[in-house]
Amino acid sequence: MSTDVAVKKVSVTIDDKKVEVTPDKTVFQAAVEAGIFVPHYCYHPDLSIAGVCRMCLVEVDNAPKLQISCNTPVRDGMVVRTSSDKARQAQKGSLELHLINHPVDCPICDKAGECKLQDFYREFGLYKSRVELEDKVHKPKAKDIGTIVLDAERCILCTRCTRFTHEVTHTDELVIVNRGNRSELKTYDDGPLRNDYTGNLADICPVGALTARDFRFQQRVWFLEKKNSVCTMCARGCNTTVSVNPKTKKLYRVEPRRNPEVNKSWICDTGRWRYHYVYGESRLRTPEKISDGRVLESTWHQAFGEMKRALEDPSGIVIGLSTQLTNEEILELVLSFKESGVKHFVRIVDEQVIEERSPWDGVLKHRDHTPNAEGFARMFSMMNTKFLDCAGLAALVGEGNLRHAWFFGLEGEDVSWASRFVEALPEGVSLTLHATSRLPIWERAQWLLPAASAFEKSGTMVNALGRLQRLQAAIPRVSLARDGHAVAFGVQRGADRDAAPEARHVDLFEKLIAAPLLGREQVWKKLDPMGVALKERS
Amino acid sequence: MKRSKYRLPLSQRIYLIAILKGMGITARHFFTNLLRPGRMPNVGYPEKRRNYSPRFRGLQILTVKPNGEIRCTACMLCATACPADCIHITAAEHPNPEVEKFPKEFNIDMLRCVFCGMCEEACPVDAIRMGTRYELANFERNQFIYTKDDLMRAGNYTQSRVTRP
Amino acid sequence: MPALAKEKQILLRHIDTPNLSQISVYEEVGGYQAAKKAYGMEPANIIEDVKASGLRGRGGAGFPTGMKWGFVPQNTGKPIYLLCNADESEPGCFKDRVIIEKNPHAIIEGILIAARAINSHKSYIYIRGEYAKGARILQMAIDEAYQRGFLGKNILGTGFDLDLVLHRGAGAYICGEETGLISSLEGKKGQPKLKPPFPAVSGYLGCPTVVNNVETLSTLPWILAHGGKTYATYGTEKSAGTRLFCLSGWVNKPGVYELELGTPLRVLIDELGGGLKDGATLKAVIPGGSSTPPLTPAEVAEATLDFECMAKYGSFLGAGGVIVIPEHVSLLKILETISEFYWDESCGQCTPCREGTGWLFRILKHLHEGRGTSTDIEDLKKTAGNMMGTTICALADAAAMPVLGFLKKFPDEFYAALREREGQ
Repeated sequence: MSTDVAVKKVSVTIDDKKVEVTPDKTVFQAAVEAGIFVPHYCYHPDLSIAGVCRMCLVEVDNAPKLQISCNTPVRDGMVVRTSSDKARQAQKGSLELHLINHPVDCPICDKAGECKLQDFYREFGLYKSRVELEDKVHKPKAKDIGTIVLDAERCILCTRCTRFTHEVTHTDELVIVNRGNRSELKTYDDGPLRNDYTGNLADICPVGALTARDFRFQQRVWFLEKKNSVCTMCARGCNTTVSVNPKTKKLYRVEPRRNPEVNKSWICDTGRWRYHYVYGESRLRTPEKISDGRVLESTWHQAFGEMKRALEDPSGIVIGLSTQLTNEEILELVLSFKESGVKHFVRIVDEQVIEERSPWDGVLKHRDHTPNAEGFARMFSMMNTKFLDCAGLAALVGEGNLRHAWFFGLEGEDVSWASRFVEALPEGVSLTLHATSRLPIWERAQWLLPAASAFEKSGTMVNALGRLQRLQAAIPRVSLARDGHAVAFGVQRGADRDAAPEARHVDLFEKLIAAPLLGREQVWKKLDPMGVALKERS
Repeated sequence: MKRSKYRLPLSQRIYLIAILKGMGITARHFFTNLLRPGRMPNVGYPEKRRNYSPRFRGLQILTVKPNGEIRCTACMLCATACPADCIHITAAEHPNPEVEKFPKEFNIDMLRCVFCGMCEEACPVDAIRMGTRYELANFERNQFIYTKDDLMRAGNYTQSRVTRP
Repeated sequence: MPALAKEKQILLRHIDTPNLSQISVYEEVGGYQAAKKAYGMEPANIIEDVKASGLRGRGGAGFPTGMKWGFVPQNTGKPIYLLCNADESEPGCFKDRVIIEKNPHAIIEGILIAARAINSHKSYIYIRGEYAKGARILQMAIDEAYQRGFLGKNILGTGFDLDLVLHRGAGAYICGEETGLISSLEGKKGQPKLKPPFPAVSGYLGCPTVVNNVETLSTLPWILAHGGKTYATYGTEKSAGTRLFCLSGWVNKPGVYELELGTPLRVLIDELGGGLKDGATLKAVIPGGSSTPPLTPAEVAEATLDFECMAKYGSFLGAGGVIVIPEHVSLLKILETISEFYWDESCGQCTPCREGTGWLFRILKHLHEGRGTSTDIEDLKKTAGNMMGTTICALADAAAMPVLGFLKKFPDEFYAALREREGQ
């Protein structure tokens, strides 16, 4: 963070590379800025310094004793060597000591492929083991502690997890008991973990001691490819990477992506493990028409045709848009329906939360479970269009001219806040729902159209902090699901003969959204993966 | 252009001699086979079968532990090593905590398998071996997907998988 | 240098006075006079006096006490804490126990002087849990001192407040390490902290803290009474003064003896200790407690008890625990016992110590049981080498140095153990 007074930087030479850093930094951080990798286990950029793994030993200024780089402050003119013979020997020795009691679990351990012990062994170790298997210290194996499986024998006691439960969630559930090489990691009452951020423990654990039960034995990580995206389960918009198997194109896990401005290195358990609705039983896979209480599988062609016909009398139609839609989808749907003469738009959101003064939970979560309420407001103000809230919808119903209600973009299995809008509609109004999942609160609907989930569509969203972030599709659309762009295209034509253009969001973003929101041109591909902070809404 | 002054000798210009030479070779083979059939390189399959070395790579066998359970821990190294991408494994939790992981499904698509033996080399626990069975012809395409049970029994020759249409 | 006569001793001169632990008796032999003098002096002058005395920490590290006090910043606005390290757990050392049980007021007086010097108003004595008797005696002494106005508010009418609290440990060697002690006192697990920041700047509860050993503090009254320069006339140039030595092992008269630094080791073992029992032959001597490398008989003949000479022989003066080893005792068994101690006491925080102490113990156990393999000696050297200098505190060094020391100076016995097995 820059301050008004320029902080004098100090110059440090690491491995013959000169780098300038502020004097409050450590040698390790300076090495990171210089692009030099120093092996480490217990250091984490978002946790306090522990200095217990002793892997980041480096030579400083020809001193005889090696220093740990994570706790050595920089000094002007310091000369550091991270890969000299002496440093490498120390790192190798420390690695060997980490491995002497470590069980040979690689075939059954989920961490294989992203395990720091494996990685460092390949890069710095490659020595032959000098310990007999029967001499190893044994500790309790796989123990279920709720959402995480704890294997105390694999633990290298780096204390990242105990620091996490102490500093981030303030729940202090994980402790290390006993001393010496009998030290063991466990929950303080041998019970399950009780906080909403347990998934992060599996991320920060450098080995397979803490693994996610959701991902247990599902895939080997080298079969998966990672794609950058953004979480859509609340208005925080934590940055994520989504792991997909490119052969089966199936989604296997969601992990947080580090963004110091939004979510640091964390994501809540909801955002991490709720993705199962994408493949769940309740997922809508084909358009369904409900008449006389019977559900009929139908086609998009039929749906589009009926909707186009209904548009002949646009004054009797109200369009409901969920704040789970991307900016581009909102823009396209509104512009398209406005062109057809529709005047009434409703914002479907959890209205109680929108008005709350402090809707945050103290760590990450926002009580608004939709990701784009802020973007919704900005898009509508950009288009100079008004939208109604639930009370406004009721008033509109009261006027008596309403024939059709079309609600778009309802996502996930937890959209209870939308039921108020559905209940506000009387019997005579035909309800068409564009949603990802079939839920009991949709019983009233006449048409159920399968929507593309957040993992299947691309676009931009603005989170509650006013940050424009980019969502990217990671998996192909499930069955016949379609996003808002395809629906707008189809309704305009009233038929499903031509394919909707791909990458419509790129066009819309670059031509219509970038300039008003960012104040400048922006190519979609080059949009900062960490997002862009927007100015306050006037 | 100068013309070559060299001319083939008569014995080679007369084509008939070359023909007779060729026929002689054929005749020699004919009579050798007729009079000493043991020296023919052919193997009279299926009455006689070739003896292959113990390292011969045939249908895979999934080995078992002394207690009869499958040895495989579903580490997926064989699936990763396979160049033909023909091994498909689904891992599951084993009720015995000392074993922890085992394959719920272990399918090998023999139509894709090239019998290279990379799976055998990759396995860290000696759970998959290339056996000696090579008579794998069949009539149905789906019969070529060998499941975990098939592969555990693959050492037993008398099991025939052929299902006639 | 001959043995120190009783009248000239500093710490043990009055030790045989009956009921010395009572404050009235202590005052009769001149106790608390030095404290009264100190409270009439400026703190800076006290520090200068102690620096001039050349007093070095008696807990094992031997850091100059005056210099340590000088590091404490006075202008942070935070309270300054003085901690007395009575967690004497080094195998072979039992000197602090004598002072605690027989002459506790000397410690309290030393604390008074040190608190004045560094401007500390709250002091703790951290006593090891096993010293139950010592804790009782010390608590009685503290209560007496409070009654007489030597502790509490406005001590000695000087307007200086000083509170002293006795805190008992629970049986961990690692709480004798200064930051381990601080952690334990804070109510956390007794695990050492990273340095930097150093305790003088940020120690107990993040405030400036000085940790001094019992013997060091007990020496202060004499220094203040007779002057630092007088103290410096005892001992050698770099190792000033006298100290307590704990003689144990195969000798006729084991016990605690006070000697001038620089006295030959022979004087301690032969004259004062009465020589080896039953006329046994000397095999080795551990000079400073189990964490110091041993001395060969040839070295013992020449060695003097001071910091420089011990360093010359590749060892340390340490905490003064002199252990005499006779010919018939197996060095393998001794080293195995020492390694078992460090394996048990390692706090487990940092990897080289946690795993290394266990591995060293395992190998030595195998060697002693006759199960050693040919690579074991090399493994010991390599592991001990990997442990040294790479850890948060010095316990790993303390575990590694005896291993390396014994292997270097007495290799035959270890190789013989291997050959025996291979010959079988």
